[in-house]
Amino acid sequence: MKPVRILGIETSCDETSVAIVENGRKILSEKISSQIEIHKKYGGVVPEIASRNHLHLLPFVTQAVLEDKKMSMDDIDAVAVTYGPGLVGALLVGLSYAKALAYAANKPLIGVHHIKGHIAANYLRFAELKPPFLSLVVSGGHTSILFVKEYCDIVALGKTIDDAAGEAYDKVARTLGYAYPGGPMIDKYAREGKKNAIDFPRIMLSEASLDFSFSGLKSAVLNYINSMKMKNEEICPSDVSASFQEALIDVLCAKVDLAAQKTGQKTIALSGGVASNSRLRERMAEMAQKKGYTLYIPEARYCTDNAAMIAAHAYYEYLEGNCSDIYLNAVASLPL
Amino acid sequence: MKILAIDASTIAASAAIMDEDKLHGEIFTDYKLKHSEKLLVMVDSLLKNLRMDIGEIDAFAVCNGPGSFTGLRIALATAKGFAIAQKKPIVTVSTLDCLAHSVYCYDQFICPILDAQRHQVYSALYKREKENLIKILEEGAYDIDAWAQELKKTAGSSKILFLGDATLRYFEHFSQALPEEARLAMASIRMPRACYAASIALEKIKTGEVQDAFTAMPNYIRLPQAEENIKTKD
Repeated sequence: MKPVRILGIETSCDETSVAIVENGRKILSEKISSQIEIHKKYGGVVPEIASRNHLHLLPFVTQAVLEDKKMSMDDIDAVAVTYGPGLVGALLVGLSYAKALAYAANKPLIGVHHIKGHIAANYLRFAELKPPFLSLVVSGGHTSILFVKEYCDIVALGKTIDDAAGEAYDKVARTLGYAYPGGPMIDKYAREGKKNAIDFPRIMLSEASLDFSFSGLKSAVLNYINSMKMKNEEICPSDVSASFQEALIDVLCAKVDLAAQKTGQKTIALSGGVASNSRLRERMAEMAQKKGYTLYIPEARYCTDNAAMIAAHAYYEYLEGNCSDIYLNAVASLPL
Repeated sequence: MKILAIDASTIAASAAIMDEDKLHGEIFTDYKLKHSEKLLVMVDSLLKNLRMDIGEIDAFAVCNGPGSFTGLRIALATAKGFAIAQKKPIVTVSTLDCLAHSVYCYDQFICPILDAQRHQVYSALYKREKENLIKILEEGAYDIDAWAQELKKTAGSSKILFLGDATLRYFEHFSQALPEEARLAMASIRMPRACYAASIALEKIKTGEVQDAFTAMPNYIRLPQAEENIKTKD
């Protein structure tokens, strides 16, 4: 059978990415143009600036990806694009571009949910991974536990009711004076700190709940830092980092474990920016070994936003004939 | 030379197909619609009505502002998508030029105004000299009081015809400041129309003012707010 090649486009936040993926599993060509350096001086992603850069970069990234494999749009079977959730202005650029590209190249268009893309990042790295399995998608915008029954049948078992885990990381990092993006900085300094130096709360909500809440933990850390400052006492940033991180990861591990028990699933796939955190990977691996779970976590570059994961998920939608029409629009808070 | 022109600079959106001989077709709507959803639908319906394939289009024209930042990006991203897939050029047309161009056989001043929020309009002042549209005052984001003063100074005893989306909000203001001079354009040309962008694009192609998917960008006039804030701090 002729291989299916999908060109994916991702612009939901600050990465401009285009990729060509074969049969949902094999990356033929991909480019990720990160805007981190541009947004650094603002201490976070500025939506208007991200949107302007996406518009400038998209044609260059598309051309680079095609030329890399000496391919043209004729060699592509479908165009896939993230249509939510994300920053609406940023999404609109990728969406409008992808719609026009697909239309003028006479190819089917496939709108992809960003979180489903994150889940599919694992397909790119682990050929043996197939549904059913459990997935934890944890990033600056999302913290969700999902049950992947089939490739296109995905149910959210729990999600954050306030801040995403990565958001808590960023806010704590900013208060500690770490440069943006703060998550990797906390990861780095936490290695030098004591995990039990400060007893931050582990907010589990109700015992049976698979939802998350991280705003309480974030506030506890910020209050701790402020009260220490008021008392003119010195804080140890690496101890704060390690203690905060351990509290957050305790919750993530406990909820994933609970989801595994509830569903009887023993295969767990992680993804999203926070899945590149070294301590989270370590703790999940320990838990998996102890409990007999099979754990999948792609390397860091497939944890963060990329277009290959969008094309990977789109392949399975393509197989089921789930193509979008030209009315497709961007939805900032797209439900699963 | 067949041109497909698109505009989404304001709350209105339009698409037109034109060549040197005639305007083949145009779709225009002024309705609070989601441009990201509808612009391509308009293009598709126009092509279908004309029994044309997008492959027959020689160049894509697009109004690149000033105007709504999001609207401009939707139109530019759409033009870029077309241009990459079809390997065809893009011609960018100022939204203010597009508006002014719709006024013909009129020897007084023409003043398109677009709502720039913050008590400002994006505007420029034009005059027709024979067939040519001459820009008398440059494009910019102007405070509406200061702009009225500037227009009064420039216009002398001539009339000024106002058009553009900001006429809805500010024509009263300008007609009070310029009671003898201010005139309101008829409704059919008050909003940007893609057919005039196509017509300007045909002229631009003759003089080689052509871009492509890589170089065509919006003319935002303004920096992003966050960048302005940093500049003010410095």
